[in-house]
Amino acid sequence: LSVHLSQQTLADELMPPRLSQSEVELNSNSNSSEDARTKATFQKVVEVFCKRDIRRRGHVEFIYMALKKMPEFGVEKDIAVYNKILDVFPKEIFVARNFIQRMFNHYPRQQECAIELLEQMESYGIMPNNQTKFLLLQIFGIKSHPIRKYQRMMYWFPKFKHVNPYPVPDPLPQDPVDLARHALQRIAANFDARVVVYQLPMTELTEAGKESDYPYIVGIQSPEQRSSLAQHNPDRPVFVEGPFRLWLKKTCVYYYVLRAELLPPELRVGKAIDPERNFYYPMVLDLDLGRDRLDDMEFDTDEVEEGPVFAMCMAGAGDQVTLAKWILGLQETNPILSQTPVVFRLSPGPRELQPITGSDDDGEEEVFENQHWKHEL
Amino acid sequence: MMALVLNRAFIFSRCHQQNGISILLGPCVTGFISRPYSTYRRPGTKPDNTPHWKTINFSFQNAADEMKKRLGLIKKEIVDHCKGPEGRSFVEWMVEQTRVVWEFRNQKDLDGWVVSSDAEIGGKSEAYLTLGKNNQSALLYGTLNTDVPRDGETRRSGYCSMRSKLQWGAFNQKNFYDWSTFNTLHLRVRGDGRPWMVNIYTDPYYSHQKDDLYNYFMYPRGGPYWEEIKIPFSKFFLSSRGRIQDNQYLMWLDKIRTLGFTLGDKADGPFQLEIDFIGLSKDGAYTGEEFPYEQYKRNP
Amino acid sequence: MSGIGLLLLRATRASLPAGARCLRTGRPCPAFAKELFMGKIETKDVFPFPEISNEELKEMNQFVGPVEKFFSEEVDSKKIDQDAKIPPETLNGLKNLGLFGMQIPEEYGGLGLSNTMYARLGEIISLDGSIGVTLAAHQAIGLKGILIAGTEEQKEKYLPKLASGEHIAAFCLTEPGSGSDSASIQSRAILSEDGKNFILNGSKIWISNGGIADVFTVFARTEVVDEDGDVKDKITAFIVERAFGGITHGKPEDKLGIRGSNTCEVHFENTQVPIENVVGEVGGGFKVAMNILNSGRFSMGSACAGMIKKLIEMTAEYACTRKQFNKKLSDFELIQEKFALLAQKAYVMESMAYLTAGMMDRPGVPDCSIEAAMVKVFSSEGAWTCVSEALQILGGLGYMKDYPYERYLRDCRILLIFEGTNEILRMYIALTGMQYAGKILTDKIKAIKRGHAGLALEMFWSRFRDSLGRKVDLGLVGKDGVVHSSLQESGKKLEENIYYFGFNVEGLLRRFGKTIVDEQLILKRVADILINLYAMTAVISRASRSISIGLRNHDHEVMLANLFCTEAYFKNNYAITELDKYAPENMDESIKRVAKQVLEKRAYVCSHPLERTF
Repeated sequence: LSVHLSQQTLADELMPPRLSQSEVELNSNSNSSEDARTKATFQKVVEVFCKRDIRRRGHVEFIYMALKKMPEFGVEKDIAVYNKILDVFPKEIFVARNFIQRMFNHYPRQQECAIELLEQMESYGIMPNNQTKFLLLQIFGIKSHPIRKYQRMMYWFPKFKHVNPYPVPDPLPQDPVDLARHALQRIAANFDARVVVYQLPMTELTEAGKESDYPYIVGIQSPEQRSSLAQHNPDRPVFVEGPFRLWLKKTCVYYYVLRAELLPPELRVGKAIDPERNFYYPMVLDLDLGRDRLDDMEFDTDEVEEGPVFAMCMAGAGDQVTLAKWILGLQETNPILSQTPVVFRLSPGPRELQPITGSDDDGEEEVFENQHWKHEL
Repeated sequence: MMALVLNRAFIFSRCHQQNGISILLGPCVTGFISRPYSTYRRPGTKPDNTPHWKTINFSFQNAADEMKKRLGLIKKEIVDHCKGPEGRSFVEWMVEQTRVVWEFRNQKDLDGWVVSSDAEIGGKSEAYLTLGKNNQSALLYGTLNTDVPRDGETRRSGYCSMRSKLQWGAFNQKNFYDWSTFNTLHLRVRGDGRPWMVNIYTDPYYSHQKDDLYNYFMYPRGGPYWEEIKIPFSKFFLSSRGRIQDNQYLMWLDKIRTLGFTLGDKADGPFQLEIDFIGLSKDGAYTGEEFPYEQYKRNP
Repeated sequence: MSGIGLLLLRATRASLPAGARCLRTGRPCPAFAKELFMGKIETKDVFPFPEISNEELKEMNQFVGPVEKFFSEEVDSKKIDQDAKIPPETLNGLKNLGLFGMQIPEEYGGLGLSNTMYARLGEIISLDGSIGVTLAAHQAIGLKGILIAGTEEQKEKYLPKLASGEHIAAFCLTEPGSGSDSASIQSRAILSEDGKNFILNGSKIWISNGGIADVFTVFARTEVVDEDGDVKDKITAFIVERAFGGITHGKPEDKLGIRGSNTCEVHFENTQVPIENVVGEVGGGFKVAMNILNSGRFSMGSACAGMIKKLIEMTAEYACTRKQFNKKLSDFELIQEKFALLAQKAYVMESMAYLTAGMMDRPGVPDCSIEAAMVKVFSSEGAWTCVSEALQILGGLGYMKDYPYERYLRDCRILLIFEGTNEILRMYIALTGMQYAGKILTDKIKAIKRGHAGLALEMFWSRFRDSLGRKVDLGLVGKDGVVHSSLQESGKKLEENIYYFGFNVEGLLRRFGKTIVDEQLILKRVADILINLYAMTAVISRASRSISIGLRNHDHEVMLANLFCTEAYFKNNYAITELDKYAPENMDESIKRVAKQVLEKRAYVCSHPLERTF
């Protein structure tokens, strides 16, 4: 790919005054009608420019300006609009006709402008289509830099399109409950996990005229988590930790986790297999031989061990009241929670992440019994 | 995600020039940033025109320290060479199927890594590296900010990266990692759903290839569970200064210098990545795949 | 009429001198299959092929006659399959023939047949799958518990009625959550306060004869106090009579095949079981279950062989009469290939079954569980392919319900599943052998791992000689070999296979040690090789005997033997190369990876062929 000269930035700033004024006029015209920064208006602006002058003077600057303004009009991910902008170039003038023209950068400013357009498409991740190719061929001919860039895009984009093993659906669901459901299923990593909506978002007017907001609470738990919670010792507390961040493309959602601390080594139950386990064949061989080094695929390090996670949830608000409602909802399927003390370890809101240290006194911590809360709510 | 201005992170290690200053004089000299490794000049700053002789700090104290350090390194190298490749016994080298290259259990492990963000070019992102919970993992966290610095030259901004430091042998020789017996990179990480890019720098012989990097994507799922991500080395593609190259080659595993992680997904906001360990393994199921990027002629 | 036949049989038997039938020659049965794991073969066990004396042979033929007649005349398999029920007249006929007590000793009223004779009768009984399974569920597992581990009082109380068929037995082990896992058995038996009864609660599924049985062998959990004083939950076996009350059974399940056999759920609600009805000791039910399951398997070999022999007759009849393109079907080579396959498989199954039965009949306490498992695996899979091929020979006619082939096919499918699924039995075969070999080889392997110079040199030298084409001599062929000279080639192949197999077993133990339990793909190959080796041995032994004593059509037998041995030799060699870690044929890693990815998404993972990215 060619090296970008710093002249392009100058082009942004120094535009022919006549053009910029007309741009501004057109934009202000569109501003007059309410909420008119749409695709239709954008296309209209482009058409007006094309019709105005048969020789399309100043088209390079116009294209740069258009590319800059695309996010405002909300059309930066639309391939049809890019094709329309590309259409502004006059056709068949910049095609190189002999080998000297091919060797030296023929019409370098236009070629760089087209490359800039393709670069913006690339940065938004939009795949060019057949019309783009046709236009580029018509405008620049086959042995030109924009076509070369287009060829490179068409080689690498399909290869990397499906490289994400956990794809995020596009577009993301707008409804927060649906978004929460999708996000929870993504992090649960278990097909059997069931999503339960404990509370839908609504605002209620009480008799006193106050508004009380009920944020949504969506929780998830898989059968393995449920059975490991059932085996949890009720004397040891369980912790509600959060909020943790999860990014889905450009949206950040927060989730909370119910987990227990790891048992100290003395209390861990050994997992010896009973030799009388299987009626048909011996599950443990009584030999004194270990695995050979050549077949040992284990890593020579102790992996990080953390306490088991019992359930996860996402809620509209991160305060104790909402989370306590979640715990109450969980109690229906996990009766052991009514006897276990629940400790809330909440970080003070979604701000800059504080590094989680080994000690556990950041945020509020309250130990309480669940029955107490049952009376309150 | 593909066009990143990555090579800015090079500046960090104060490297001494290989040739030019003789070996004996080298230890006495500090404060000399070699030209080939730091060609970045922030737009808006004046060019640095101080003559060579002004930048040298001559001091014998430094000389003594450095000589001690280098003789120690020479001794270590000779001893390691006698023991076997890279200081481990030959049998172990032949027989091992997996190896842990970087673990994060104490501050010394963290010192081997360098964190950078676009603050060098004037951006507003921040990145920090600390030990995680119970000193058992590394936590890379910070905020990404895509505001472009207004210096007239930069077009895009917003990246953070973490890279292992370059290894130097005695007398400033380059030290390589030799991973030729393995074919998969194994990472145990816990991310937050943001896509990262893994970069491997194989120091080339020719200096005009000094910006080439082998990259591939890493997609942690996010969530409270630790994830093991395995990336076979054949999947890494070659890029230089942030642009994918046309001529792709298989990565040579015996001259690797650094490994790095980069984040640049154009989303403003805080990020976090916890790494437990970085290891290598031999994956039996991938022996068939030679190189996934076709080699047909691209510029006829 | 059949009652008279039975009386005649009893009379002939009584007329023989008392000790004649108990006389057996031969050494006690040691571990033949286990020695194969060491790369050695105990030729004295299998050569010569076990024989029975002339009197026994005559007696057996007298038994066989009436039974065959009964099955061909009075058993209407089609009706049994359609009604999903065995008519009571047929059951009575079977009872009169004494088939309900074939292995029960005579003092309790049974026929007291040896294993070989039981196998011989099994050949005929298997002609109707439902009847075969009903009888097997009654004798081979239902009352085996009492036979093997019962006390004298239990035997005297229950066996006479069971032998005459008045009571039918059933074996109750499987539960909805537990097929082979003893830890998930939920049925419980609690000792009552007066200490005289156990109260049994639980439910079992898929119990053959569940609806018609009167005596059940039930396995349930009881609390047992250990020597250390810990209270543990262990399995105990009980003999439960229907008369104890609280036993209900569900409706008979609608099955694919063996529809005449009654399979249903059985529920136990507060059933009172007296303490005297515990089989073995309290907490010792696991061993009882293992012994019962391991001893009933070998008869499947002869049952399948009998069925295939009948199929050959029926299909040959068809193939030789039907004409297409003016040629009989039997003139086409593809059809001839199928017949050769049927004959070969029947021969191998017979040989293996009778070899195992003969080994089990030797005096002493025979431990032929591995051999029985091998017979079961080979016969069930062989029967499935053979019946499929026989149906194929008949083409469209075979598919119609008017002909019995589809019924045979459906009845055969269960053979691969019950009495231990074939996968589990392969694990059993491989692991038991590995355990045995491991115990002996532990020291040698540890020495090699430590890097003992002499051993390493010895190994290197033997590998070198092998690569130069060494000859293996295990005593089978050659001047003093036990194998007849017409079978020299097959004998040599067998020797070579055994030697390399032993070699590889040692290598596998060195590579994996204890953790080989988790490497099921490798164990499956080991088991396959072992089954082939055992089959080859059986076949060579029987063919040698046939030539030596000049049985009719011994040339045909030699051809079948050589045919099978060549095929098995190549399969074994391929499996042995696959066991090597760095062999390109070894695709274990890829297989595991593919399975992991499919199971992660629980669906087929590839993109559709018509999808595009741009």
